[in-house]
Amino acid sequence: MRLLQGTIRQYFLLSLVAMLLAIPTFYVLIRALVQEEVDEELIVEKVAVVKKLQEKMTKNPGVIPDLLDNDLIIIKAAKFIAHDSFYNETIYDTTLRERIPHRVLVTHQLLNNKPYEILIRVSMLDYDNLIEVIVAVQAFVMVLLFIGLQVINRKLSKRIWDPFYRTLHQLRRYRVEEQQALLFDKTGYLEFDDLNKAITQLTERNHKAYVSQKEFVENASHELQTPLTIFQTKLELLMQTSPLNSEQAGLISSMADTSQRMNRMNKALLLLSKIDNQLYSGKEEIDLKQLFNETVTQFEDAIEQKNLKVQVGNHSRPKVEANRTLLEILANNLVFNAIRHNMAGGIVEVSFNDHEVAIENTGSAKPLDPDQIFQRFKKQSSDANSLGLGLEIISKICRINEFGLRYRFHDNKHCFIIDLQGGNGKNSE
Amino acid sequence: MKILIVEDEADLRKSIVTYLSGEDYLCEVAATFSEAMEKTEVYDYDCILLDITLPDGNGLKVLDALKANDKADGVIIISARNSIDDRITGLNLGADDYMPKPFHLSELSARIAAVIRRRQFNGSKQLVLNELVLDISGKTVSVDSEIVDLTRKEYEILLYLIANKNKVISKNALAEHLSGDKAEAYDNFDFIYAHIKNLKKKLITAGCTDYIKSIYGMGYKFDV
Repeated sequence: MRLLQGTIRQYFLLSLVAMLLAIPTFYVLIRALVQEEVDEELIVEKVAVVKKLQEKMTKNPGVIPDLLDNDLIIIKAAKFIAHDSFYNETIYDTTLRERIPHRVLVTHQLLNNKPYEILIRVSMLDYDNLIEVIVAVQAFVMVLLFIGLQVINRKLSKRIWDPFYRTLHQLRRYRVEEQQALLFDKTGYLEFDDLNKAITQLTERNHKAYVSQKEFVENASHELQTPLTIFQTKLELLMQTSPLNSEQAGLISSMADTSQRMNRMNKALLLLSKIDNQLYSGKEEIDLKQLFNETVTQFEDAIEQKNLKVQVGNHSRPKVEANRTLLEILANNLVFNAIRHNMAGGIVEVSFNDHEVAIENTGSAKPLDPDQIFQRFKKQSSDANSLGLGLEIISKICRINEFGLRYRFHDNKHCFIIDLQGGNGKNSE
Repeated sequence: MKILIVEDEADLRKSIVTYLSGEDYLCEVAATFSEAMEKTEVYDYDCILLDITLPDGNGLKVLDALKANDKADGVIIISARNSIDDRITGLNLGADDYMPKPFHLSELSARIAAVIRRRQFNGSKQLVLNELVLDISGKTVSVDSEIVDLTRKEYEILLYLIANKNKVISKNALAEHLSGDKAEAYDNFDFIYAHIKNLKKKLITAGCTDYIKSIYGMGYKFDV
């Protein structure tokens, strides 16, 4: 649920409750007021009527005078009740042919010392209509007010939240390797300005940390080159010494292998930092099918040694605008992996469509853990020669070119899919 | 043949001198930029190994000076910074080769041999070792004037072994020489073993002495 929806929902609920409570309360209140007014009128009328009756009864005792009023009934009462009372009554009006609500005052009066009951009625029809109209108008005004509130609220909230969404948008596009810090325009709202300031500082620190880490890796690998060379050359000199027995030769041999591994790892780290430093920037159009064909040719011997069946492509020939060196490294690493982690007599298949390249290979029957696969040094094979950096390089090159990268295990084959249009692979964010 | 080694790392300098001195080379060293400038001004060398990151100056300036003085010394740049820019600048300035660190001494030796060959034998470029003759320009090998039919890889191995004759060459160095960084794609170095086996067989059949020796599975040696 959006924040905006949340607040609006609250407002809506409150307004609804208020309306449901207010309209009946209003109705009841007006009704009570009107009734009170009517009752007062009835009492005034009673006084007048009684006065008139008393006059007439004094003139003609014993005769109930006809006051020519439908709403006035005078009957002899059995007993005398001192106080007046009111009640509501609906009377069928023959002229109007409908039932009409009336308010009735019952009073007992002693006329010529005899108790009479006097009923004075007044039609409530006009009042009721009036109340209904008033309530209706009131309800209409309230609904209008409510809708207006919503509209204003929505508009206002959108405008108020606009800086927030702009910040969010900028944050989403933020790349620590590309931007020094995120800068924002003044929003005019204290909270958002504070937020933006905090983000600016955070991204600035982030970028600094990134740069220093990058420099550290770069410097460390550069500095390592010379000692690694010295180590390797000393080993070669050690090989030339004599006499040398087979035990010593075995030790030197395994040291040479280890030294080789260190060299490769260092080279891979250097490559990663070079990619980070954007040393590969020139772009050109690259025919991917051709690229992969060339790459596979370079691995001819290894393919032959493992007796692999390698197939490149179908009819599709996707082309991309990218740096050639980077894509060569990408293809090289992908093909290398597919060969390296394959089994004797296995299959490597590179296929294309308009926006995807898929590299599929046979190998271990167990799928790789997709969560760890693209992380540096997370090795998934027990192979001592695997550096755990190959996929990191692949992933980095994809990220730079805004390609998506996915892994799939299907039909006992490991498959890496590069989405040339981005997609939402592991790399999208 | 005279080689100048310009390298500020004493240990590395010593390694190179030790390795090369056993061959037909006379090695001189320079540890600093100024020393290198001095020596290159006064003497001529067949090949100069030039580290470009020196404490007191950029090695590329040595190269500049050489070219300005019309010196014909062969130059191989050694650099810890394996950047394309350095490589291109170096080669444009007239360096013959570029070697990023880390490298194998056997590879270095092979490159020096290649540079010197390119500069010295004008005309028939032949390597002669008793009955074995390598024609560098035609990339052919003959034993007692009979051409031996070798594959490209076998020829490269033979040339590499000869450039490092009487030295043990590790399988790693050989694999890297043949396949560059693609060497990682191999499960093992069986492919080298296979190439060497074929090479030996072809040479022996042609009547050549069996010069190529395997040393405890550690590497190979061209014993002459």
